[in-house]
Amino acid sequence: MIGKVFLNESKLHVWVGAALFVLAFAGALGCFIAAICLPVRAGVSAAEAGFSVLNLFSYVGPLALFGVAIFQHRYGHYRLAGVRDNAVFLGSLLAVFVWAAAFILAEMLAATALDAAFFLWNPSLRNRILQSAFLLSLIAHGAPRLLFCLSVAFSVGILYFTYDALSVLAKRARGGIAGKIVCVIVGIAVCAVFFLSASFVAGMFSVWDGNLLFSPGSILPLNYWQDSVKDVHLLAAPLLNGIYCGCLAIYLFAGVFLTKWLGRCKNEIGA
Amino acid sequence: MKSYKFERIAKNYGRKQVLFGVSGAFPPGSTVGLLGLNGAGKTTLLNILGNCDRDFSGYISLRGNAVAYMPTRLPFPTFWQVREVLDFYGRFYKFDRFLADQLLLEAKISPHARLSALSDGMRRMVAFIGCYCTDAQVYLLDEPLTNLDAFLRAEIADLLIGRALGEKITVIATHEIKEFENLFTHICILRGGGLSPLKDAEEIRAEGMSIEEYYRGKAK
Repeated sequence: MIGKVFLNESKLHVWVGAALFVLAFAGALGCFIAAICLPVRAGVSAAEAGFSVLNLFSYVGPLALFGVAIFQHRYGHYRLAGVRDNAVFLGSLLAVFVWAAAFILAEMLAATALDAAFFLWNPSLRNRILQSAFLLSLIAHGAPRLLFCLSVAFSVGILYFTYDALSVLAKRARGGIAGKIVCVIVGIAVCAVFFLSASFVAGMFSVWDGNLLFSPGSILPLNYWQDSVKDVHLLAAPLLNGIYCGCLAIYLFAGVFLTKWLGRCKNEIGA
Repeated sequence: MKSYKFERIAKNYGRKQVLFGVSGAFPPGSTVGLLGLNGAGKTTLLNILGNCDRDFSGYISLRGNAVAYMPTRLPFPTFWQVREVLDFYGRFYKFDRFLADQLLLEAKISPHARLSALSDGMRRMVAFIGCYCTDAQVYLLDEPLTNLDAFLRAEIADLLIGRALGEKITVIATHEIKEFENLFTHICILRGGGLSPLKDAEEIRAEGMSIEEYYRGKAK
């Protein structure tokens, strides 16, 4: 049933993802064409802008797919078909994860292709572009950077997981509307504090995953602020950091426990 | 096939109790008329029996995709095309797509039309086709004739008569009793949050009353 929900959810994800990718690629390509035509200094700025468009859409795309999942959540069509709410959630989560990863992968390949074109056309111009602009380029960072796809998809998946847990909390909380609002605010605060703490603790112990770093400029391991060589991407989950993953496991366990404890509804099918 | 049972169904909206422990059992092959005044709780009961509302207490013998439900309002995104709605039914139920396409053709509804572009009546027809073409054990229809023209009303009535010969159970909540006068095999009336015992339609007819007359007498 989860697979069926995934297939059903996928259509809008693919359309939105493809539309945003085309938009991002067209924007970046326009900037690169301008870079070719403009004098060197302006050309460098235009090329940087081109890469920045792709970098910007690495936020916009996954967050838009997250929005699509929430949007589709509003309709009760899965309930009409007798699908259990938990299967709907897992199918949607899978769709968010898969299509966010696919979107970032497409963006990385596009950035790499444009980077390669630059490399062949004018290496000296390419050398003057800021390193941070090459966030998505595999030429700049090597094939291990492909893990970035999973990293972002994982973050968006966690975001959707959090949304789902909070919506269950809001739905099942007692005390009328005021009670629900209080529960949701407390829930959001707890999630925020937890993630900040987890990132901080994981950052402090980032030396542990020194062997896992893909230097220079890998954004996958944690330690954004201690290693200035690394890029910063706020949606990149440090999947190779054991501390962070441990904290995340606690977070997921707490979320699943909350959902099971409160229940998605009072009288679920087959329960 | 066993009879379709539900027991002690209770539902409240905030402090307002709508259903007070409703119980019923519908025999196989029956076409049950679920009658009641506006606000009696017919739609609430069908939403519960049809899987859409899961915040209630009580027991239902058949749930999930053993039940096909035609709600008053289609719960699909309005930007979906009609064929996407049918694809959806095909994905989650055993679904007779050939029959569905034929019925769409007869109702002059394009499979490529978006739900937002259809009239209320056409949307009702799409909902009916989706429900009718699924292979379920129980069919729940909430006001199936509302907003439909005479041609589509006759078509729906004919289709339901065709199905009435089988083992399937059909429950129809309606105010338009005359249209289904000869179709109902049983009647039950929802009143004051409770459901009356199932009444055999033949017994009513044997008493020289029409179902509408019987209902008017009981609903007072």
